[in-house]
Amino acid sequence: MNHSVLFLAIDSPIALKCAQQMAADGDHVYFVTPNGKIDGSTDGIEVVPADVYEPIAAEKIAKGVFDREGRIDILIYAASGTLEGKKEATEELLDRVEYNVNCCRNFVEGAIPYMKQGGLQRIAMLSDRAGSITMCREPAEDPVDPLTQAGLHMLLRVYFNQLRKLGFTFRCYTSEADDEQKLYLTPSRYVNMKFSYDPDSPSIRNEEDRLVMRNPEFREISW
Amino acid sequence: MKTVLITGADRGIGFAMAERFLRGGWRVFAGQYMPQWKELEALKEKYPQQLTTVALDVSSIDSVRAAAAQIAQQTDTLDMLLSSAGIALDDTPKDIRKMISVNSIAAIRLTQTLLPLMENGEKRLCYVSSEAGSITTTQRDASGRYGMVCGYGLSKGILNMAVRQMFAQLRPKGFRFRLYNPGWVQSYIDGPLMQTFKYTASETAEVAFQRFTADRDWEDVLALVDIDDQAWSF
Repeated sequence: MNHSVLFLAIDSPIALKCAQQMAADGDHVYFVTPNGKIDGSTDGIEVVPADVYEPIAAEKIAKGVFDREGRIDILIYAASGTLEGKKEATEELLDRVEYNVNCCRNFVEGAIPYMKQGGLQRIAMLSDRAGSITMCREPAEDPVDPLTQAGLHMLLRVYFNQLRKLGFTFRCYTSEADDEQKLYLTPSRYVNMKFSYDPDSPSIRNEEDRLVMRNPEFREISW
Repeated sequence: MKTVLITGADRGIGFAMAERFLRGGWRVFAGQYMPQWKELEALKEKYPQQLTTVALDVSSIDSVRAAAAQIAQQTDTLDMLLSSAGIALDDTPKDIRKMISVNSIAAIRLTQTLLPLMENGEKRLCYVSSEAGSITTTQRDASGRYGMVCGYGLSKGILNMAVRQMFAQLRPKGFRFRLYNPGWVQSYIDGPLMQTFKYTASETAEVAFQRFTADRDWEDVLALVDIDDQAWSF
């Protein structure tokens, strides 16, 4: 594909798999992760250990990738986490959720000025099955994940509202299958997928003008 | 007399809720965060037997616990939690943290802490949310257009998920939930009173009182419902 991909992953099991697939497809993947620990192969992936809680750190990384590649085509963020019992549960929950939300927001904000200069201009989020408020039936054992996903879904929405009219396109993928062999739609395939869009078309439906979350079976999942 | 804790009761929507519940004959524990606002004290003079002010900073688990302990000294049972406190700040990381703490996580702090006191009451859990928290419909964008910062919407979206999680856990135990979109209210959430907005705090409090105190046929459904009785998609 030869895209330049800037990827933020915070405790997300699916993120590395997506990055691996994109690298195997020929994309130049810069994988930003706070602690730098990677549990898996990093062939073809440039790992960037960095904590982007401070906006300036995120900006610096985006600039570095832009200077090296000449563009940032795709920006992906994925964050999750668990409570570790180090402090009062509600306070640890606040720490984890706001850290995830602020890091992802800083990451997007840092990259936008460079993405506006050209390239594919795609922003994607990797979510998971806990992220749908509408579809939630059972309480999660650990609240960090569902609360984080809800915040990050809203983050994607506000950026969609701001940037879609400038030509940016958006993807939100939620993993549901436990068995990877059954995945019809892998995260990398979905992130790279083209949707129907023709600004001159007389028809009303242009898929790029809708922000939706889809699962590996290409089904839309309500927020 | 039925009992309710109303957070953010110093002014705006929370104050109007307190006033309405007092008129409705409830015993109100009014969460007070801004003692320099004297409206609550004036209301106390009017309802000396019904209104108790309780120092309450919903962003602090210690404050929530202290408030719960104070309430427990005065009543065996709390029938309703009405979580109304909310803030809207700027979009710095620090402000986003504060908004998540007050607008989102506070609902969990309060509910978890007060559950033991609510077990034998009417088990009503009521949370003031916003259309800003509707991921499906919000028109706000990251630049903070429409006069509202994006962090506020983030925090209300997280609140909606927090309430959904609690609903999944507590509805089977008989708790009844209300998730309320008060509409565009003339409140102080942004600092000065927003006088150009559509509804007064009293108007939204009146609707809330009717909805929160009455039963409905569909208690097994969690919906974000607004002042005009319209349901909003999450």
